[in-house]
Amino acid sequence: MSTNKLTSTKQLLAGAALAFALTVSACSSGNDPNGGSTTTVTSLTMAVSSSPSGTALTELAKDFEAKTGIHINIVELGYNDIATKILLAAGQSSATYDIVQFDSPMYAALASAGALASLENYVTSPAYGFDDFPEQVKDYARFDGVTHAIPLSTEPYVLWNNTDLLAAHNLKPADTLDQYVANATALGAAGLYGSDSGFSPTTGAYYWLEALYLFGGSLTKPGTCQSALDSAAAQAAAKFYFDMLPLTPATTVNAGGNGMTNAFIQGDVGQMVNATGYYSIVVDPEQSKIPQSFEMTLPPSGPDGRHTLMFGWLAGVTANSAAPEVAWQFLEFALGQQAMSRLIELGAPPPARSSLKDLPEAQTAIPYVDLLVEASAFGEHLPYTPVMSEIIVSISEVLSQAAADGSGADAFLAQAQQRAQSILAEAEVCK
Amino acid sequence: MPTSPVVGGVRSPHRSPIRRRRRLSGLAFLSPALGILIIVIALPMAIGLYQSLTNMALTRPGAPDFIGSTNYENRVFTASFGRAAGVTASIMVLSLIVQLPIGYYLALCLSRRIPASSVFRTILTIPMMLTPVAVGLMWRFLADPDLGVIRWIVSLVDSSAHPNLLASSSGALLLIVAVSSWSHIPFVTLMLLAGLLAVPDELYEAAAVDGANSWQRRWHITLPSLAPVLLIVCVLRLAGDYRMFDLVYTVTNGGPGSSTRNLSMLAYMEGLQYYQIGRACAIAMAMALLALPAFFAYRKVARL
Repeated sequence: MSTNKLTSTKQLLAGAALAFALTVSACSSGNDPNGGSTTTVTSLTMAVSSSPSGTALTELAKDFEAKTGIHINIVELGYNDIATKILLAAGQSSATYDIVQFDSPMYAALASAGALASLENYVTSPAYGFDDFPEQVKDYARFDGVTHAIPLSTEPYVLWNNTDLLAAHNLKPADTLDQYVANATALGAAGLYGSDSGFSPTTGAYYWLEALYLFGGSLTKPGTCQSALDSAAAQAAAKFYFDMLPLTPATTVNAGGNGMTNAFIQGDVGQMVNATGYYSIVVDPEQSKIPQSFEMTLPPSGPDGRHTLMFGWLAGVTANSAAPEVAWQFLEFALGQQAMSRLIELGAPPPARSSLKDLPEAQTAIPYVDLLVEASAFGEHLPYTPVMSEIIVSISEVLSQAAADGSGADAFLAQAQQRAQSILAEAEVCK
Repeated sequence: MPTSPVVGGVRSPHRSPIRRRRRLSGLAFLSPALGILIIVIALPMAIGLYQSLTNMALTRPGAPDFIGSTNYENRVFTASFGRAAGVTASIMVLSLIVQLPIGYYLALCLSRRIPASSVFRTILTIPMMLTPVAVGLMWRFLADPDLGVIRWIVSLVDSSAHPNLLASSSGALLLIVAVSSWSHIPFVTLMLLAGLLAVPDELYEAAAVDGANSWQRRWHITLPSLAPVLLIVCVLRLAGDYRMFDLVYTVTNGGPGSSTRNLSMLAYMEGLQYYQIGRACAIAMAMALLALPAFFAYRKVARL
């Protein structure tokens, strides 16, 4: 009796050990040491954000499934949750998302946390056509010298003009910052809004930094993590920005890009410098009062030539994806050189490939495509550092406060420099 | 030598097997609830406390380092935290000052037998049904300096006026208080109305027979009868405004500058905008500690 009991206990333990071993091996099968997939992949998960680009990716996922049989589950993330959720997912042992869409200001945080796989070996594929991008756009896709993402949309800041208002006052679209100021002043004298700038306490800094880059300045001293907001260019940009404040719609004193665009499409604003990504809103007659009476031109040149900032969606493969090669196959399918017609057909603003200038579909659907490619060729990105969101909020806060209490450009700049320097002191990478 | 605590030949009642069994069975019955409390409150608090002592950040791969009180020194004992605490206190106090008298007055009106009072009560509950984010966005639009209704109303009086509540520190704070009050006055009203309807009519009749005027009846009967309800209302509203996030986020986003950034917003920014979990936990722990005196004060008052 007792021997039988012992035997059955041994059998039970042996069975449990076998079951455990099988479970462990089953859970780990499919992944090779290099992260590649050794089994047939039947589905992937892609995180997209609500946007024309996200909608296009969702449709392209269906095309991909029809072609390859690989299903792509779509998870839609709110804009403010994207980085946090990808970062949290990066801490999991198995991939929550294989492919992710994110905005360029989130890039450094994601890449420095190790959430994104390197795409260096993939982007060289001829089918993708990385060399079709201007060097500035390729650089915009690199963090610390490594390509961890590819451009999904490219959105340089350009000059937006209300052509009716300018024509009614015998003004021409500004080619220089001096002309921009002159136009703004003339429109202001006529009781209109001559300019449109953002002073939001959380995102206003993007628009002031654009002014800084227009004047030839930069956030950090080249190649360092030291703030450069004490430069002559920064002083000129701050003075310019606060000089324009009385000529900007009151609503944007607490708003960022969306608020600026909403003010512009009401028809009382003569000009603004803003991202090309707002085109679909301004041209939409259901939202805009000026769908036919606006024009986009190169950003005004400053004392140091023509500069601008460049933003836009990026797409990448997560570092813990079990099937990075398949994930790349999808990205190449959706964003490769030959995929642009379909992307544009789906209503997404395209990445700034040089070949778009010769693509008839692009010329028809995106009248500003030549401008997009031209502006992207000299567009710069803000330094990629994980503390960028803290810098943006901190500068936005003092910008907003200076606008609200009237303390003006000098007070703003002194505080902005001090805060940026203090935050950058904690940063290790600023490239 | 006795091995059990027998005093004067009588077994100590505290150590008697029956009492011990009862205590154990009581603990056994309580254990599921205690377990849940430990899992949902004590454990997260302990984890939060530990994380507040580390440099944990979502952008920093690997295990976080223990950094002692650095997060508290750099993020709690600072002017920025003090300002946020001041904003939080201002919102709490101003909201209560607005909500209690108006809620009390509306409750008094609704407690009378007026025609269609049920319709008024239904209308009154509408703001309570709306989600705070929708309320915040709606009010932000109403306060828009170019397109909002507030500007339009002011322009009826002075066409050149261009009020911009969102661009003024005090205006933005008052707007938050107004929106919070608009949302929560119905709750205050309904709670006080329930309290008012529970006061026996006989008390008022007896007071009237004794010659008390309406002010005396209100002061000596209504208010003392409502005291427990008032206390609950105050505590709930203060707690709600202490941890308010949604309205601040949607109406002013903490601006202009940091003039409406309260403690919840500060913790949110550190944790979910800057990805600094350790710092956010330090702020959250400080928030919990700051709330403790109020908790003990409430317990003391509630016992009276």
